[in-house]
Amino acid sequence: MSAPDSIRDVSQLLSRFELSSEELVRSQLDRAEKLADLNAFISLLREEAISEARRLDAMRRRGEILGSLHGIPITAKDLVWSKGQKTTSGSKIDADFVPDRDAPALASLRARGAVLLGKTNLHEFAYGVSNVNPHYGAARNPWDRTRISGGSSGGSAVALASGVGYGSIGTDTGGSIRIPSSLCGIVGLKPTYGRISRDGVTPLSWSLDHVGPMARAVEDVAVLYEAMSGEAVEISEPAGSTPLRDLKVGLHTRYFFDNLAPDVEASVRSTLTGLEGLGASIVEIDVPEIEIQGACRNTIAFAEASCYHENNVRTRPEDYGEDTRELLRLGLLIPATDYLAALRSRRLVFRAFRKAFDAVDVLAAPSTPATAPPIGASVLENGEELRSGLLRLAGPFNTTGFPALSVPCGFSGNGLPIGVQLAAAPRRERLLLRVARALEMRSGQSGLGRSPAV
Amino acid sequence: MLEELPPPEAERLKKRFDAWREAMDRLKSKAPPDREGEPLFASELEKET
Repeated sequence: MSAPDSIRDVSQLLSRFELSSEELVRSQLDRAEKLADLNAFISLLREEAISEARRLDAMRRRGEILGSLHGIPITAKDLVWSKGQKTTSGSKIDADFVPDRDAPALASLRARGAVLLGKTNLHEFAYGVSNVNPHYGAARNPWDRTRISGGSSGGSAVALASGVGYGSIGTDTGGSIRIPSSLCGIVGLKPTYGRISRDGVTPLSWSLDHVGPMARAVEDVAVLYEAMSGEAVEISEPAGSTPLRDLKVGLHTRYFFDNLAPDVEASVRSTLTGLEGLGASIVEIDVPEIEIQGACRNTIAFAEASCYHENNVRTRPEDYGEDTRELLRLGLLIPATDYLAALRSRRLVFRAFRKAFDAVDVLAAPSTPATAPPIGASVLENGEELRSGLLRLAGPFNTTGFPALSVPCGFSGNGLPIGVQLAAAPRRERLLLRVARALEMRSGQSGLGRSPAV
Repeated sequence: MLEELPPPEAERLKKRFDAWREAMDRLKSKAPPDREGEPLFASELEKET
């Protein structure tokens, strides 16, 4: 059975009793099992999901509807705690960790009727961008299985791009929602710092970690974000309107357009033209402090991650994958004075971006400088080292804590998805979603109804 | 710590540390003057945003 793509469409079928949640959940689980070679999941929760779907179907028959996600299957990155279910964080260290409660982010979706299908693959402890996981396998990009999904929320992006689940909970410390969203052709929102609770989510770096929704289309991300944040989100525009009239779009050519793969640059520049066609005006901006934010963010992330893992990395280093272990050891070498210097510099970066957003409403940039590289590659198509290259364009909005999302904007010549990133001042998620929705409508690049041949 | 690791691992870590050190020194040259700018801790960032 093939089910509709969007939460709204499938909800209508469920509400008309043309489809039951149990049928939907079973078909989604079957699909996930059929596509097991993509390594999207660390665990599938077949029995629990079917049982929950039956309970929700029975409630619906009694006229009791929990909310906007009643009976809708979703997934969660396997560092989001789920009560009574293994939450491995993609690691051997936490392979048997079973939380005694749900993370509030997950609880908020369940409270509105979502059914958790499974826990998705991630880069070990979310500490990397390739999602080549030494313990659970590499999450494979559905558009080309020989390529990475991006990470660290790679399994969530792979599941969605291959038609499993209507949304997923991801986390983002330097781009871990936006990078895999861009490389797999879906939509991912990193909200403002603290907007969605980090409680019950295994940390990587407390002051850079963000929890956020991922889905195939902007309208679905909006539904999930509304449930997770409690903020009402209305993103539809009246028919025939000029949706982005008076919108000022910042273009930070230096840095964000440096050294891009040609297909990425062409696609994002065409998107900017599209924004103008929707009534927006393009305004050049430049934030000199962009030059120091990378070192600032790296230092904070290295120190905080190693603080959390110190005991384990000292006593059982062999239980970590090689790349994670090396980064954790690096963090142990960082003096407290440098950590504090990074936090002082963070204030400069924060203030500079806040000022920049006085002049523009959103900033538009590529989400990643290149499309998905082959699994095992150490450099991107544009010649940048893989880790630093994929973090470069997404990371600034973790340093500042400002909201940012990635939305598909096209394909490369070899058929790989390209994402455009939109960022805004704190708490302007609704604006980001509205602009992304307008772009999606104009470009026809929505992940709905368009999927890789898997 | 470096002395405790096998030579190839120690060498890789040293190289990575040196790259970080260089980037951090560049950052410090542009950091706030000594009398200005307190660290922006997570709790304050959450309030600011």
